[in-house]
Amino acid sequence: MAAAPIKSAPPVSPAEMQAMVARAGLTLNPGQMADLVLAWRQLAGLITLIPRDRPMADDLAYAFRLPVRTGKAQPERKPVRPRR
Amino acid sequence: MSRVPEGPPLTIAQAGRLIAAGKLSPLELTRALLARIEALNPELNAFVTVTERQALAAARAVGRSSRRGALAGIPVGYKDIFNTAGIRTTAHSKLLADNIPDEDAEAVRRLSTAGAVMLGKLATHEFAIGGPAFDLPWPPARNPWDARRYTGGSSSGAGAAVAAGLVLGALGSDTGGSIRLPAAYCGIAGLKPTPGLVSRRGVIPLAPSLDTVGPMAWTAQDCAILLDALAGYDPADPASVAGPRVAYARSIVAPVKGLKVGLLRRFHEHDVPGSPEVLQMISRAVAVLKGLGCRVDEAVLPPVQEFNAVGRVIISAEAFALHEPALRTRLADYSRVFRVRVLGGALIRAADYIAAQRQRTDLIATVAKQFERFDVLVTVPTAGAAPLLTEQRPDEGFARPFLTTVANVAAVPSLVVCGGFTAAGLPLGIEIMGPAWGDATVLRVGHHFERAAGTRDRRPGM
Repeated sequence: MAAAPIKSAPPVSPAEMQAMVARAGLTLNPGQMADLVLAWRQLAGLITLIPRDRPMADDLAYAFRLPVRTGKAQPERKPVRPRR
Repeated sequence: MSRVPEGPPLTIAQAGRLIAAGKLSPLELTRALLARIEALNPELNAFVTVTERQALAAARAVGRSSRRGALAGIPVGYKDIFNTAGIRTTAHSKLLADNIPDEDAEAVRRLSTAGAVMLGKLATHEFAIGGPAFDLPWPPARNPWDARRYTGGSSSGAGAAVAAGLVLGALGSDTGGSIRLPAAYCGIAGLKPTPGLVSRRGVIPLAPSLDTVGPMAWTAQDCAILLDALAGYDPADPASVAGPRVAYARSIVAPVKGLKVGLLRRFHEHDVPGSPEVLQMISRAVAVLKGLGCRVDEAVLPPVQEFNAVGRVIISAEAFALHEPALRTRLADYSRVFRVRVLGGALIRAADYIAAQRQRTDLIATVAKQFERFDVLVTVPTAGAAPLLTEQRPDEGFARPFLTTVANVAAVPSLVVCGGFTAAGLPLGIEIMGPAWGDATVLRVGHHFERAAGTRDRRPGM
């Protein structure tokens, strides 16, 4: 398997970037905005490397379980009672 | 009791034996290291806070006690994201410059219970992400092998303090390589344990899906001694797991003859090409492992870039989510390098974050499959020796993938030990990954490798 080159992300115009930053509730000066543009270009490239072709009915994204090698079952956790 | 022996700094194993035999006083050892900190820290910036008064009191108490824990009198330091009751915990940030927690982090509590003596709080990259920054209240840590150079991070002060012999052990955190990168650049041992093995309660989070905490010390054996005290279920950490009980320090002495080692050659020859000296070092390391009786064959995993993409997206999104309120109101109080690394998280769509988490499940399964063939997987943690501090880019990790992030995404234990040195005398690391809950195996391989390779006899010339 060869390492996939980072694909170029779809370009984001300055106006689009301003809108995204405003939607995130941030107020950036021109230097901070330039830093964000630098970081976002690279981050957007990384996002394009992540496959999207998994079946819709596949596992929940945020759940993973590590195999415990002893074969012993984990003790059941007591449910947390809400504080009153 | 006698004084601290002349010569190179003691390891935890050596000091523990001397203290247990009544040949070394915890108070004398603590005093000696506090004096060393006073002499060397102004150059290294390894400590944000030195807790001299508390350390001397703790060492006296250990010396008087008849019931001594496994780490009785062992001087340690904590990355300054570990909460310490009544002692400033800053995350190396202006935002927490006056933060004084009420309770110890669980990992701190466990080491204290075992008798460890805290000498202070150690430098980190701001909130455990980014790189060396010069726009924070404290300067970045410097590498004891060459003070012009980077320690690696984010457990930067821990790497510097252990390598310089200012502490015998330290606790760091590792979300994408933050224990193992300073271990590599500073020529020490650092373990990122299996997620869930060591509690993260009371440790300031970066990206909870990937955060782990673990030991850093001069040797793999010392990491095993620390892990014996650290490991264990904590119901207050949602990711904590009641995994198998293992006596780590005892288990690592078993021979490694016959173990199957998978060499991730493509990682360091193609995906993140190592320097000629790194490639020579890993060739020698493979010869050492073969000499110990290990069977070495090539192993293949998906490209480092795929792990790195998943890791960076998760870290950026989760770190931004945690810091969002402060970024909206106190943006200028963060360092520039933090902003570069984290602000992009504001623009990640939920669909992209979920895609990264889904892909992570595939990568975990793919790596687990390799451990049906191999006991451990070996590669290098860095493509070269420690760079100059001035060579660090704020977008490091986006521009160049971290080899170490593979183990975070794959949720497996990973140990870095010193594999050799460059012609200029800078340390180079090797990385040993094991299956989930295979922490004892990676420590065992690291321990035997260190002894056979002879890399623990050389100290920074400070």
